[in-house]
Amino acid sequence: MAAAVQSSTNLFRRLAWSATVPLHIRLADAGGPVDHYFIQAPRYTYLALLLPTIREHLVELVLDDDALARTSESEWWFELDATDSPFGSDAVRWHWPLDLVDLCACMLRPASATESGPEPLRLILHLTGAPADKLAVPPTLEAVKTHFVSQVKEADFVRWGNTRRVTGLRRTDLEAGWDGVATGDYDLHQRMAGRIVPLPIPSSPPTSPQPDRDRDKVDSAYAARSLPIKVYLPDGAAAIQAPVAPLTDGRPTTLLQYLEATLPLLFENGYRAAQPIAQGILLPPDADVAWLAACMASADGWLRIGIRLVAE
Amino acid sequence: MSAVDVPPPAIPAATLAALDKYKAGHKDTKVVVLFKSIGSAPIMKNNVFKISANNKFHTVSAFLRKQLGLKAADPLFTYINGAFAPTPDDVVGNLYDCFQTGERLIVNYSNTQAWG
Repeated sequence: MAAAVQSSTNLFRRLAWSATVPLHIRLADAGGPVDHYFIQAPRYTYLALLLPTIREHLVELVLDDDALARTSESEWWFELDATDSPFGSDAVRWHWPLDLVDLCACMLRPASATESGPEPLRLILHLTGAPADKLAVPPTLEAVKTHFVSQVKEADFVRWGNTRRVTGLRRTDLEAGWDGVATGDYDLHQRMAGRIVPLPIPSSPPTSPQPDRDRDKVDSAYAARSLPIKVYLPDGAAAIQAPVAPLTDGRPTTLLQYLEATLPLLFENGYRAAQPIAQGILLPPDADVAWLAACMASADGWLRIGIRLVAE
Repeated sequence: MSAVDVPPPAIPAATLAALDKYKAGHKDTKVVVLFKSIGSAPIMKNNVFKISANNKFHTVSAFLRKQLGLKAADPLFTYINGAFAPTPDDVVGNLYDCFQTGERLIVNYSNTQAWG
């Protein structure tokens, strides 16, 4: 059973890892002929990892040598382009995975019958005036990596009430988690993630506490005490993060059950008022949340769901 | 830019009202935070405080710095349940809902990195 689940889980994790976002970056306050840059980037990556490319192919082409010598990446920041949105724009946080940046952009525009299909993620790059207190994490790889590892640990604590699975990793396996993201290497990343993100093994006995001596047993996402899920709403609302039980009355908790319980006013009529998006796709209402958390999580182990409102 | 100017699709009033309600988050709720020092970090005389649940965690760090009389350049590392470092923009009420022990959110603090 575990082997079959392992192989199907790997397939879906690999699919999520292969998902990309088309980016359209515009330089703020620049009127030259080359102030736009297009790039296709993986969803699991971070903007800080893309800065060298963006610097070379956009900023260095636009600025003259003096301006280039004066600019400092610590002052740079990205803003979501909120043109045509009923909501205001926002500064992109450096510790957000690109998937979350895209999720925020997606939530800016309500779903409607007249929409013309997927659009690139439009960002505005500002070279001065970074709102430091809002950004919280500076655009250095060291800071983003530290944050990534903290998120990995927090997700583990959510699942099991301790971080022993992470702290028990060999140093090289823990490092492989971030290194896999930085180098775009799925197998390297799995040396960490494959050891700590549990498989969605349905037959696992529910809720019985697992004593520590059973550590060799394969963990099931359905046996976790809670699932690491963050739900995002548009218009500057704070993220929602609360305990999520993988099972309800002994049966797998479905996504719609979870959404009805968490956001009843938006999901009392199914998806008519709002739609849940993760990894760039609309999630089916009958999906098990434990399966989604095991197969569609970000590289740090968190499942990030964005709520897109539906227009009339 | 579309060829024909179409007004952006409107969101139903009931949906916007629901969004406003959820945007209020943990409004008017306070949670109990217990600060615990690690290593050589100074110990606080009073280490239990009620903090608004809608605050971001960086507000808690700033409050803690003030209580400890730290300068902006002094290092301060914070952890939840002695296990992981929260993000500065985590909402205190969310951390409480997920990680409280005995109806208190335990925040460990240190002047050196403790659990990275």
